[in-house]
Amino acid sequence: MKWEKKDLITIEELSKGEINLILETAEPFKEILRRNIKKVPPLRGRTVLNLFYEPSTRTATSFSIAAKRLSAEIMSISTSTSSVQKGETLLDTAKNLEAMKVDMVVMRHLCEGAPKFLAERINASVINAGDGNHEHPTQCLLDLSTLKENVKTFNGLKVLIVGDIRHSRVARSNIWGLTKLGAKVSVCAPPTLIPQNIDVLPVDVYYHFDEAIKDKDVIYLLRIQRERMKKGLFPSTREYMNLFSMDRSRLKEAKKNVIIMHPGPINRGVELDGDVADSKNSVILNQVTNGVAVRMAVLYLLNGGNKNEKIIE
Amino acid sequence: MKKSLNRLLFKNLHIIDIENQSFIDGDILIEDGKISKLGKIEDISEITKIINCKGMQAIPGLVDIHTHLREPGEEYKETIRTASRAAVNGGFVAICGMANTTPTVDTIGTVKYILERGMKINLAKVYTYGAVTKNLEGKELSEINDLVKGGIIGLSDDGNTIMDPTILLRALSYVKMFDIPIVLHEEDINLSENGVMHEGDMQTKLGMAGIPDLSEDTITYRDLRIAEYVNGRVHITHISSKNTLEVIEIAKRRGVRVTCDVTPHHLILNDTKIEFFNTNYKMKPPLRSEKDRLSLIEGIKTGLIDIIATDHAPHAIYEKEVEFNYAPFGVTGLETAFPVLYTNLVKNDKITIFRFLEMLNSNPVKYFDIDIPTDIKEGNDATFIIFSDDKEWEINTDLFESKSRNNAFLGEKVYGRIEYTIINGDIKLEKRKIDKKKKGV
Repeated sequence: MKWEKKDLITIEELSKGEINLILETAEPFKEILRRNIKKVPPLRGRTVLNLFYEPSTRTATSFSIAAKRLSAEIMSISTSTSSVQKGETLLDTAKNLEAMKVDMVVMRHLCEGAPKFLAERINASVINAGDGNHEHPTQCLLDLSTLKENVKTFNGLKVLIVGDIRHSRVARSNIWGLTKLGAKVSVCAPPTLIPQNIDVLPVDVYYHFDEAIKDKDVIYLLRIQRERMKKGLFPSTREYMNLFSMDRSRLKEAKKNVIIMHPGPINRGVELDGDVADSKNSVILNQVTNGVAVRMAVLYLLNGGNKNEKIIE
Repeated sequence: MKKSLNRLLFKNLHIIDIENQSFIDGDILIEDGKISKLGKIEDISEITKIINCKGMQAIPGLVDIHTHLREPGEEYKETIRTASRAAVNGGFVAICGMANTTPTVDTIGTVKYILERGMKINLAKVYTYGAVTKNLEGKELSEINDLVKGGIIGLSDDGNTIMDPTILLRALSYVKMFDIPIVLHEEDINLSENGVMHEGDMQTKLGMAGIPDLSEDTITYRDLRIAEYVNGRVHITHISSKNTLEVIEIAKRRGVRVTCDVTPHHLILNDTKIEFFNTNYKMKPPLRSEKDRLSLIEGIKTGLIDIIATDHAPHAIYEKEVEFNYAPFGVTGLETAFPVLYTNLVKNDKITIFRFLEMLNSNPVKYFDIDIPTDIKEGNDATFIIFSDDKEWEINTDLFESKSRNNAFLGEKVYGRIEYTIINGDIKLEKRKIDKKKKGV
């Protein structure tokens, strides 16, 4: 199978085959990351631009490292330093990037659909690094890649996503990705943090964490944002923690080998107890490591790479 | 100096007869702005102009009760001139400007400015609403007597829902002495918050902030109860949901003096269109679910919905070609309403052409005191439109006389093309073209 798409915008639009292609392509890159000399040449002479309209440390850094490992030139623009401050529209930004012959753009934006907007208007490949509450495809891919190392099969795998499903791009991408690979996804949150028409997504819904936790193979915690509390979506952090925090006592109720995941950054002690985050069940740091390998795979494939090609001599 | 008698003859038409709900084949003779003869006309002496309309149909002119003229204040989006050109290009012989211009239409001076510009441009007939409250702020009533004297056809704060029920109560009560309706855009802004699309299946997938139908039906209920309480006259504009329609149905049954309208886009499109974030599907109220759309179709069939109005809302290209969240709400409609409604409703037998004209001609005339004939009859003012229906065509921006391009039907294949728009015997649109000498106005 060969990669055909110019851009990576959503997981929803990917086939199972395309997802597997990315995951398989990531494997040799993981191996490269374990070497002393971690740089390979496939993107030599290519220019990648990190275009971040929303603050990010982890994702921007992860993409930068991935691009550098592939020998690409990478530049980062964030809203605080860009002409966005001067009122330039995204359309004009797109035209300027095109004029500067950038090859790939990694974009994060607080508006859903912004990467799609950009992708439709430039020849360069666009990678969605998170658009509003819509999707965050590379987060999903690195989660799948991490799970792949820890489970025999995705078929029938029971995954529970806990937290602010309504406002989460990570949840949306993972619901599509996991389901396409055969996993059974459930979500758990107070009703105010569940989307109004959740039935349209292939998930089961729980309001009670203690009831949901018992038979799950994977528990995926989402970061809870305090600003949601101010809008009256839940009364207090304390009450949220009582009902939805993954703490040591809940870990005892879960399956013995349950896998604990989190997209970061963690609010230690809020949605996830520090001890649980650091326990043997947690694969949170593996997620971060695999993030680089998966992003290398995405950059590589969008650049026209082939998974069977020999990457280095 | 007296002008010599202008005698125009339109030949070989299929002419509607509203009174008898039928069509006749024949010719229309216009003399001095009036229809002087209908039927087979053999004597063609002293005719100024003969126009052969073989295969075409003549119907009364369309009336739009919800147009955003944008002038004064936002002339880069539209002017009274370009809106008038768009109107006659789309078969509309009368348009009614909303009060949200800059300045808002809350003084007699602005009313007169708009009406006089309309008359001077002399294409479609231009009417205007006045603001219910000063500067559309929902706080103090405008000097309504002044506005009525200036010639408004109704009052509306349009996009700004009057959130304080006491203000609406007083406005509806006060306006009773003038017998004009208050037109309401129903949206509880506390419930719609920062929403950009219908809260539903597609919104759940896309993650964008939603506008629940609840924001429309709950406040419609509130306002209809207020109208009932003071026996005031209200018109609910651009209703979008099944639940709102049910609230209106109940109110009508209780005898509340309420009428309502729906837009072409809410009748033909649903929220699945937003899948690829095209901002030409962003408007308020938002495109709703297929279930809602079907209930609106049912509403126009049963007569529960009285009027179809375009909510023609021009925006500059650069304002719309941005991230979906940042784009302004609204789409144009004057130039596409006829073909899309004719194709989707009349041509496929959802409604008859007679019911169609009730909603776009006779009901607007009846409820808003607009001076446009509602039939094509001898002795009537010669105000009517002629359309062809022989071949399918595609809507694209080349069609538009409007200054703006933000239309939700670009690329649609349609039937029904306006060929002539005639107002008081004056041909405003001829062979799909507006006379060049009218361009300079």
